[in-house]
Amino acid sequence: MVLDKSIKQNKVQILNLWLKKFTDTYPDESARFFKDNPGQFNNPVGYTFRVNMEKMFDELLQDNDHEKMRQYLDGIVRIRAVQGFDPATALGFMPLLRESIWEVCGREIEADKLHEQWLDLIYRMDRLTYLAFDIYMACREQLWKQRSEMFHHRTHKLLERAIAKNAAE
Amino acid sequence: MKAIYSLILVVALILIAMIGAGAMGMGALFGVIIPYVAVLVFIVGFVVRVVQWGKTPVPFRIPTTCGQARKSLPMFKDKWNRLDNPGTKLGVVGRMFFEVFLFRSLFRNTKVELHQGPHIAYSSSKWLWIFALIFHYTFLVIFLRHMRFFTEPVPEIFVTMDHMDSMFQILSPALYLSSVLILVALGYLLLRRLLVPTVRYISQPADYFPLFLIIGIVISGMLMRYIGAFKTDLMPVKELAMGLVQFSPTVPEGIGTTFFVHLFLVSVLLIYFPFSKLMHLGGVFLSPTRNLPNDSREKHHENPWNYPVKFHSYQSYEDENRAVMVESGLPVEKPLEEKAEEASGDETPDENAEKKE
Amino acid sequence: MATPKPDVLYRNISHHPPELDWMDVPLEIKPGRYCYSADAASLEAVGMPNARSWNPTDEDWKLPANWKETFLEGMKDRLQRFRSFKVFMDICVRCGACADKCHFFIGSGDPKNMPVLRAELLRSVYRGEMTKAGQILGRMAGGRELNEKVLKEIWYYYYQCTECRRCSVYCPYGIDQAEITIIGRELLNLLGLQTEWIGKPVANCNRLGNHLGLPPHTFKDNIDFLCDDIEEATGIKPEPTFNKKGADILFITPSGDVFAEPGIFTCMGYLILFHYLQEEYGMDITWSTYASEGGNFGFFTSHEMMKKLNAKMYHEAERLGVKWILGGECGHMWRVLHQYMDTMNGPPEFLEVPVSPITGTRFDHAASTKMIHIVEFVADLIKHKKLPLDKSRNDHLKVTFHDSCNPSRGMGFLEEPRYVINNVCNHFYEMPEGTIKEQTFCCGAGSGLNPGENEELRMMGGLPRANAVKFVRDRKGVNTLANVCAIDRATLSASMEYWVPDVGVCGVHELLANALILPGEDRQTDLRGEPLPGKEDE
Repeated sequence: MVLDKSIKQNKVQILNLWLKKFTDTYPDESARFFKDNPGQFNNPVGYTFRVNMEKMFDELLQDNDHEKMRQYLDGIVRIRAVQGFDPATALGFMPLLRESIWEVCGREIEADKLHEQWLDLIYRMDRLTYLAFDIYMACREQLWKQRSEMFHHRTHKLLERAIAKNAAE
Repeated sequence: MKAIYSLILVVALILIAMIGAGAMGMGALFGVIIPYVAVLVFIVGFVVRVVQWGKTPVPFRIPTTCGQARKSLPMFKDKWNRLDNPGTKLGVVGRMFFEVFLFRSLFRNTKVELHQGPHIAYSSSKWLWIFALIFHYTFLVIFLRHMRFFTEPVPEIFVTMDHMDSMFQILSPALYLSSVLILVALGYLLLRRLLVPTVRYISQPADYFPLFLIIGIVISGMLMRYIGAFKTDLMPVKELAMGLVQFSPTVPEGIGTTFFVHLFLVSVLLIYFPFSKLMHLGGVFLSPTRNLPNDSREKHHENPWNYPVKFHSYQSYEDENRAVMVESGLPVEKPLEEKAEEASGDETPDENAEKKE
Repeated sequence: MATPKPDVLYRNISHHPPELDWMDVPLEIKPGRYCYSADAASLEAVGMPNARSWNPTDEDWKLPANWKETFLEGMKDRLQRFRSFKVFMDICVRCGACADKCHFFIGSGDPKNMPVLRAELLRSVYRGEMTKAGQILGRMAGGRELNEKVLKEIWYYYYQCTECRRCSVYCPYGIDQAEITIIGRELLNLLGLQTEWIGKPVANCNRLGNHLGLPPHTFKDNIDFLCDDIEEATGIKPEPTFNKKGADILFITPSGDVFAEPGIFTCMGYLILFHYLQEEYGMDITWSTYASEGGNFGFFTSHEMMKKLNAKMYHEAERLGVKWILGGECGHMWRVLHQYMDTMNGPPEFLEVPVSPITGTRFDHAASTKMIHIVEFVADLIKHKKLPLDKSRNDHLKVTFHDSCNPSRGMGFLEEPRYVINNVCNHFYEMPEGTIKEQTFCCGAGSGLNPGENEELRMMGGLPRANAVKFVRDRKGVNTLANVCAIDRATLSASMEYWVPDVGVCGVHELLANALILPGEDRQTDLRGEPLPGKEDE
């Protein structure tokens, strides 16, 4: 498709724009740290974002494989889910991709009347957003589960044994 | 904004010197009185701060250990890190040497990072280490180079230093390498504060002010040497300097205003020094996480203000739990029968409950 | 077709905050990042001042009327008593070398989690209230007045520091945020601003010796239960002694390992080891129900409380008449034992310099404190070939090792655990440089930040560690994260579950016990009941 090709050609520009918009959801100081520090280990947040965003971008224009997408999204969403954002902001990076593509290729879309292809792309991206939402909810539920099980874990051996002992007596 | 305030302050200081020493001709004030006061404040202030720190006790031996402990099992002998985790006083001297003269901890920032792809990237902190090192050493060189104004005859070492510093023979008089390097380093340190968001966020006027002040000093010094309109005759300057150190101050004729600006800024730096973060010059030697050996299990470290603290004794513990202890077969100090009388007289569950700080 | 410009649609989600000076940023106490406040009862039990019920999210913290004076007086007092505090308040140049070294900043991006800024929260008060320049020039000199907002901010962020000392490694002056946090929390405790997950264990440890507040018989019962489990797994039942007078050695370990998974498997490891040493070499070691908590929650409260709780160890050792003390795997516990105990409550004249009764090795590096780490002790046993080990029993595990903050940055205890692991496992892989040894990342919940209500904070703080684990999992197939700390075992379990789900967490002694060949044993499974390699189909 014409649009896909054009997006691919502008990959670097779109990705950089996307990453910038994304990290701008953080305070200025940490945004720059997340965005510019290349370290895989001393900047796991920025690194995970960068790597997975690129993989998603490529996958979106290739097979759009559900499982792979889930894996890439998981990396990002898992981090966003613990950083104290409300759900809309946490998942706002998906619309930001749409926004970035529009800003880079929008003129071409208007000029070449590629609206149908654009719409198609939006559907693909929307499905990803829903997927991201699933993952987000799973993360939040896991957090709550871990939280509620924490005390249980800490003492359950004790309770188990006390109950067993009582039963024996 | 913080940077601008600091800049305005330094500009104001320059104007004061220009008006005072230049327009109003108060050479004695700016050439003699203020420098004397400044040196006095610097020395007294510095000593007072260091003595204050020195007098504050070090209650615990808390070195930050950055390597394998020196004294552990013999089989780890070849892994001992004598420098980053010293176990003896000598080791501490080594650690402090690398810390003070080579900024070892800052250097530790340098980290090769793994990446996808062939290239290796270093974190920017390496630059901080390099430029900090350049700044501090060129500052030292410039300071020592100035000794030729305060000595007669000038000792060989200062003359040699002067030659080496100007060995490239660019411009006339020859450009000092140190002047260029210090400006570059100061520029880096300043731009870093202004441009890196994290560092800008943590910066205070107290961080910008000394930077601008030192930049002002360097530039005024260089103007006097290289730029026609500001050039200053060195003979009267030396006369003034010698007068100051021999305690027979005179203010010779023919000293340009630029010199007074230079001298005034240096005086301000000296006065500001003991009250500011610049005291890290003294503090770096006194940091308990660096200047103590890691031998706290081997040798007793005395806390001068260690005071007794009441704790929940075994006896109280047994008194409270004797029945269940006996029942579950745990040994007790006193048999169970005695408990009845004991308990009646000792109802407070915890003798510490009344203790307040 | 009118395609709505996404820019318009989503403009409202940009959270790019306005550029404010950090002193002007309003304080928002976010759920998931703070710990619940301590019950009045917990504070009263140990005589701490200003006990009351209060809630961090309320506007009114019910501070005592003279709170400001109390805080500032307390600060002045500590500036005179701790050179560390005084120097650290005075000499920071805000170079920013520490800024991106804190696991909480790396994970959360909250600028006030940069160590330098966390320190500035208190330093600005010091400058504003106690130095002439700050009093006159105020903000120009980086000073500010202590008010309720400032106090709340200090509370919020000083309970988002795990006292891990990583920042101190990179600071050119060795400024240690842990030290500042310790004293900051000490000041907050003058106002009764304790958290429940520290306050309650302090009270419990004080009265009953363990952080859950279990009475002596329950503590004993629980270890007996673990012995039953060991019998099930190995056919051998250890018979530990408790409070035994005249034993050679007193053993103290964090009580968490006695109750909670996966720490109990480490505890079972100790029991198996001691059983073997007793049977083979007649080593006489005893547990205490009174001094049954190695971990010192007082360390997260105040220097005085640390001393008060720690004093029980020597007290019990003296009463029992043991020769020396052996300490279990724990992080902050060992910071206290290594750097504080001897100064606070020692030197213990009634104890002897630790000598291994089996190898004869004299542990001179503990000549004054008379307490050694069980991993040191075991490394020495292995070196002298006193333990029959079958490494292949751990062949189903691909192990990496997490250096706990305190043993690495407070002791230099790096090679000992690696030596033991390499002798009990065939598959050991290091995580990348820069994330291990003295540069190790915190588990994310040390220093009393492990309650559960701050789950998000713990996960953010645990990300740098988990990220490095993920790397060796992906590259080397690592499935086990070993460590020598009870808090690690609790925290990393949750953190792995969230970030790297197929990696389990264990103590070094669990691995050792799996490999240790006991005379007359019958082992089909490891301590967790998983079949041993080669025994899967039996």
